[in-house]
Amino acid sequence: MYPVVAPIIKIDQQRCLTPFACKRCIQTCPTAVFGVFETKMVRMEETDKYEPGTFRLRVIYRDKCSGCNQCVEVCPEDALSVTMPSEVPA
Amino acid sequence: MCRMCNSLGQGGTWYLNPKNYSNRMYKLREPGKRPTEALGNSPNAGAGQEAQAQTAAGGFRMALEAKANGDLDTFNQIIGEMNRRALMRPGGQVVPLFEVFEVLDMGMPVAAMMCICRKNTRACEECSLSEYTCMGLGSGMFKWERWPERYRGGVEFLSTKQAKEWVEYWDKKGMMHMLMQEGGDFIGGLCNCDYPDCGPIRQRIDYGLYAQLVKGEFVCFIDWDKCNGCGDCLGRCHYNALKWEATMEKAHIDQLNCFGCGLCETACPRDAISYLDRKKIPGLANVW
Repeated sequence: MYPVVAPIIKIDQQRCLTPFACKRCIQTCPTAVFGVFETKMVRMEETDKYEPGTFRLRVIYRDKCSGCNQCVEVCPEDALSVTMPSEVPA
Repeated sequence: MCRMCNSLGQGGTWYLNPKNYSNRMYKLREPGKRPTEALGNSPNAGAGQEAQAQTAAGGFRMALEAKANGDLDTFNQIIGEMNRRALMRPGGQVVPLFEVFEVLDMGMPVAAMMCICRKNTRACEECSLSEYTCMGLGSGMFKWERWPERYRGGVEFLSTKQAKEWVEYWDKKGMMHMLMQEGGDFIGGLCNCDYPDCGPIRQRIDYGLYAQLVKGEFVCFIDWDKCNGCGDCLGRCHYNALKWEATMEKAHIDQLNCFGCGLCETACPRDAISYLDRKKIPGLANVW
C-alpha cells in the first residue's frame, strides 16, 4: 500500500442542526463516509430528530473519501466543505 | 478450532450448544465493563489522546485519522494492537441460513428491531417488521423499553415460526446473517447485515479488525457440473469472494475470501453450491 492522503471534510455544526432528519449527505455518499450520532441518550425517552442539536453529523471513515463533492452539492444548508490538503506529506 | 468452540462448544459448534442461550450467560460479563464501545459515541470522546486510545472506539478513530492523513505506520500499529487485545473477545460470527433456523429453535425470546449500524451510518429509521433488520436474542431484550433511543422505532417480539419467516425474507433480499457476541461469551442478537452500512463487516474487510467479525464454520463450494451459469448468485456476496468467470461461463468462489454466509447457496436454483466444513480443510482450518 502506498500512502494516500484523504480530503479534509469540514462540517459547520452551527448550520447542520438536524442531520438525522435531513440525512441527504449520509445517504448520498458513495463510500458511506458519514455517521450520525445522538448527542446524548436519555433514559425512557426517544430523541426528537427535528429538535436542533439532538443529533450530530460526524465523519467516520474519512480515509474512504474520494472528494467527489456529492455531499457538498446535496447539502441544503451549505454546511459541508471538502478540500484536498494543500501539502502532501512524503 | 476457535476459542469459542473450545470453551463453550462441548465438542461441537458453540452456538449450537443450547447451554449458551441460558440467562446465566449474561452474568459472565465482567462487572462494570462494557464489552465494546459504540462506534464514535464513546464517553471519552472529548478526553486526551491517551485516554481515547484506551477505548476501542477511540483507538479505531485514531487509526482512521492516521490513515486519512497518509500515516500508514501508525494505522497498522493501532490496528495490530487492537487485534491483539480483541483476540479473545470476538464481536460476532457469520452464520448460514440453515444454522440460523437451528439457533432460533433454541434462543428465546426473539425480538426484531432496527439496526443500530444502519441508523448511525445511513440514518435509516426502521419502524415496522418489514423494515427491521436486527434481532435481539435472549432475556436481555425484556429491558428494551428503558432505552427507546437505542431501540428507536420500537421492538416486535416474534414467535419462532415468525422469526424464521422474517430471517428468510431478509435472506431472499440479500442480507447475510451474523450472530452477535458483542465482545462477551454470550449471544446478544442475530443481525441481517450488508456492506457498507454494517459496522463489523466494514471493520473486518476494510480495516482488518479480525475479531470484529469471525468467519463462519463453512466455506461455499460450487459444483461446476451442476452450475449452468445462470448468474442468480452474482451480486449477493458481501465479501468479494464470488466472481463470474467469463471464459468458463460459471460462477467462481475464492475460498480464502469466503465467509461461509451461504447467500450464494440460498440463491442457487440448481443446488450447485454446497457447504464444506472449514475445520476439515487443512488450508482453511485456521482462517477465521
